[in-house]
Amino acid sequence: MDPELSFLETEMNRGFLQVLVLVALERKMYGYGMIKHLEETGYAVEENTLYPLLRRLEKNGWIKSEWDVSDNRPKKFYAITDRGKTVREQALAIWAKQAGILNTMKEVDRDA
Amino acid sequence: MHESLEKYLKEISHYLAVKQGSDEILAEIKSHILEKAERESGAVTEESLSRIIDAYGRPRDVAAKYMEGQEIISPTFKKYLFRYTALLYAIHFILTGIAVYFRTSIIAIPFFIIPTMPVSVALIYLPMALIYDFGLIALVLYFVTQQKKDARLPWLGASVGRRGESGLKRPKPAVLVMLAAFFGILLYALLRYHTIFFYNVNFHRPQSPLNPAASVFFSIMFLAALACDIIGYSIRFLFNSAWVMLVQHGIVLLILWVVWNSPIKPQYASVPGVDLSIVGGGFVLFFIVLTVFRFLRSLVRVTREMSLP
Repeated sequence: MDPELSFLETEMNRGFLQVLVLVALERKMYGYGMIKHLEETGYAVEENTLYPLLRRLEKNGWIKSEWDVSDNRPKKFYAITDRGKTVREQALAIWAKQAGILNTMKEVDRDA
Repeated sequence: MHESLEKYLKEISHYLAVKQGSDEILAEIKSHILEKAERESGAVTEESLSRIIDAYGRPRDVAAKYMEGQEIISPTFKKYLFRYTALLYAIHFILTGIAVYFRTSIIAIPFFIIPTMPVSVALIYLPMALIYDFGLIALVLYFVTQQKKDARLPWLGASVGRRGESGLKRPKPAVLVMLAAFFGILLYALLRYHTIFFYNVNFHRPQSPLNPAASVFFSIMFLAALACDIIGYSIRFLFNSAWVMLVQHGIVLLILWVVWNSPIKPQYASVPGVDLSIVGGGFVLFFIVLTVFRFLRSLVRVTREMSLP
């Protein structure tokens, strides 16, 4: 891939991944499970990108976490908060608006 | 125990500088790597762990991702780091020259502690002073970044409102009247009691914390500094320029330098429970720090004025 395009993709993914995580966390998930779930939907994310992002979202109060120690191996489960749900709706509205603008512009160019 | 995993986590921990939760971060990474090794290889072995650890990333890169947005000094402050250091060092350089020439020491904590020294020592002192000044400014900018990373720092035209204005407030007659009244009261006290410093509130028998000679000397010096402020403030009604403030604060600094290096050594009265020498020293030190701050601020304003069309 063109390095410039790769950089653009990384920049676009930065915001997209945050929204994607907020959508995915409608149900409780832990890191490894979330990576696998995202992979199944066609989105590959590196673990060393996902975990710091989860920490930032938790710091913002958009998601919450708790350790499950019932298994041999403790797992940290995440879930979206009410505040996170509000942010998610606003972010999705922004995304829809941006997509709408792009479509309008493409139609204008086609008609011209 | 898995040696390679423990070593990997220890290295991440070495680079990880977060305020809290570092143990939790490491526990989560450990849990992830172990689960991935087990699911992908069927069992946790040193070989499978090594492969997954390699894919996870270098410890310093992993740690860095947790610290994104936690700059030591905000990128927008970087140019100020060099500008402020240059400004501080220029003053430091000039004061060192003065100290060497007059064979004296100049102390203005925390900015300068210039000892009495010959030229040969000054040549070694000056490069060290540059490192100190750089460190001091970096420290200040570090604290500013931690408190408010988008703070607007003053320099040249950066904080100027409309073009043609230096950002200097217009002097107010009420302030001048208050300063003059304050000066009048202190002058009256000096003429009547031969001091403006008291440690009791008995108007019939006011008592100075200093011996008579030091009382008169330090009172005159304080009044001279206040007079300097009043004259400078008055001139600004006619000529509102940062240059006036710079000269005004420069003269006050000189007065404070005379006070600090006074030939008259103060002898303090004995008051139970209070060490008046600490109070007196702290009082002078406070004025020195305040005046150095005001002097530097006027210096920045002068450079700002000079940059205006």
